[in-house]
Amino acid sequence: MEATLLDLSRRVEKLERKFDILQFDRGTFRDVPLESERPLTLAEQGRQMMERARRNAVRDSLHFRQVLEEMGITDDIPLLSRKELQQLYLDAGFDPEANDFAQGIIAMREE
Amino acid sequence: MRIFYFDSSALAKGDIKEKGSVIVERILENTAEQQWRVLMIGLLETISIFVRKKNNKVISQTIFQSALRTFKNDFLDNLKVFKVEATNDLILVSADQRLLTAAKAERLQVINPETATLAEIEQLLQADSPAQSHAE
Repeated sequence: MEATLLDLSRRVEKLERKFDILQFDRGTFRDVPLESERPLTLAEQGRQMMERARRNAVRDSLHFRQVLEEMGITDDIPLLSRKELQQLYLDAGFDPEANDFAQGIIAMREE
Repeated sequence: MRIFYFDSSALAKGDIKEKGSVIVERILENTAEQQWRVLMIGLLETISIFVRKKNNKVISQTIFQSALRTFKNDFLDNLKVFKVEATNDLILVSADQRLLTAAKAERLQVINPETATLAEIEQLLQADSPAQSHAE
C-alpha cells in the first residue's frame, strides 16, 4: 500500500514522541539556568521559557500516563480506530445525536 | 499551517459518537498530528468525564478502556499537542458557547462541531490560505 505524505508525517511524529520521552528519561531536559552575570535578554528569557514549557509537557505527560496506567489504561489494551470505537458506543445503544459528554464537560466547569 | 486547538468539549467527541463527532473525526483524520493542540487541563477534563460516565455506569469498562487508550495514543503520547506558538494560525474547536464567543471577540477562527457542517469543514481543510469565515 502506498504511503501518503500524511502517513509519513505521522510516522515521523511517533518517532519524535518516543525520542522526547527517551530524552526526558535520560535527563536531557534539565532545568539549568543560563549562566550569565548580566540580565538575560528577552530572547534568552524566551528561550528559557520555551525549554521549561517543553520539559514540563514531557513531565506532565508522563504523570498522566502513570495515572492512566493506575486506572488500567495500558498499551496492552488493543488500539481501536475511531470508527471501531464509535461503533462500540453505538452497539451499546447510545444516541449518536446526544451530547452528554461535551455538555457534561461544560457543566463540570460550573461546579 | 493551520493549527486546531481542541477544547475538551470537542475533544471527547473524537472518541465517542455524539452530536458533532463526525466533524471532529473529519478534522482529526484529515490533518497531521502536528496540527493538533490541547491544554493539559483539557486532557484532565476529558479523562474526568470518562471516569464519571464509567462510575455512573453510563459506559462499560470496555468502552472506558478503549476510549482512553485511543485518547492516550492520540494526545497524551503526542508532546507536540501542548506547544502553541504565537505565529500559529489557530482555530478553536469547541462546543462551549462561552469559549466560542470569547474567541470570536479576539478574532480567532472557531468551529463548533455541534453546528458546523461537513461542507464547511471540507472547505476549511482544502483552503490553502487561512480561512476568513467561521464554520460556526
